[in-house]
Amino acid sequence: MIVAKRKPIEEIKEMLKGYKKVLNVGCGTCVAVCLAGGEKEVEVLNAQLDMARKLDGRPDRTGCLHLRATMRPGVSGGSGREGEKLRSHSFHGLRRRGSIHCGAISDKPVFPAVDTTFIGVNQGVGWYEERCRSCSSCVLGLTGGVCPSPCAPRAFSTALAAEPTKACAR
Amino acid sequence: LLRFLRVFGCGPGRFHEAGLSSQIKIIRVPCTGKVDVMHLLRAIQKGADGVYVVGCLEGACHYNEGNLRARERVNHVRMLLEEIGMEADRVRMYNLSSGEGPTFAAYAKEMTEEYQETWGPTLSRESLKGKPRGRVKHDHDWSGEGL
Repeated sequence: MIVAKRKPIEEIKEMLKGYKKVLNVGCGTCVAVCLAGGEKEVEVLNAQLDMARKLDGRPDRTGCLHLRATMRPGVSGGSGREGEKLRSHSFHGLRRRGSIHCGAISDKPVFPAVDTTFIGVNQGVGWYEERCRSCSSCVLGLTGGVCPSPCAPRAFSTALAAEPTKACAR
Repeated sequence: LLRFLRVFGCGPGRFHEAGLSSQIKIIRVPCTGKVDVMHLLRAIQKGADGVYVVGCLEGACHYNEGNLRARERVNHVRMLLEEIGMEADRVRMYNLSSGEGPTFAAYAKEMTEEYQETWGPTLSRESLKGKPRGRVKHDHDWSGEGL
């Protein structure tokens, strides 16, 4: 599961400078669990952007949309309908999109509003543990499910190779 | 002039006896724990000049911790307003018992005075023209599909 945190509002405003119509898009999976880019978070960001733009004297249009599943066809059971939903919103006149989560299918400019911090698991409310660094060379089969990368990437991997009987690697 | 002061309050208190002006709109909720961040933000977004939440005294909540949760949400909204350069004091949380109508009115007066002396309008009248755009409505409901 991807764990993320929202970018500072100033950074988001800077990215959206020059655009008059913005659609904030949230995702109902990973970023909803870590309270960075789910349904409620996009509504909050939308209200903040709306007020911030009005304070700056720019009454531009903002809207928000929450997708419940992946937008890519064939991925995680996603039928692509969520992607169709996203595309259909050009009918509402919202032509520029600021995306609150990473990755999207769109012919419009997409800006990330969250920073991915790590890939981990949710152990409890607000308790995340890093379990993967996407190193693309997984050795969990050798280490009994204990990933050597997150804690001490080089030192531990080297120690593992030198001392396969080391307690923490068993 | 103060446009609106929104108040979210819980319980059947005698707040209506406090002699409040028509600019103060009270929204009653079963418990202040029901008041969401979006309720407070949307009130400001739609032109309220101030919002305050009135919950039970701490330790006296019928739902045990509804007022404590409301306070945390109020603090979160204050932080969100500060982020965009708005005065955090526009959103406040007070704890009162249901018999404290005069104190309730005194808080409203205090916020009104502070508005007149310090804050000024939240958003200009021109910028409030038109409907604030929230969640986009869509024609098709695909809820749950694709998961």
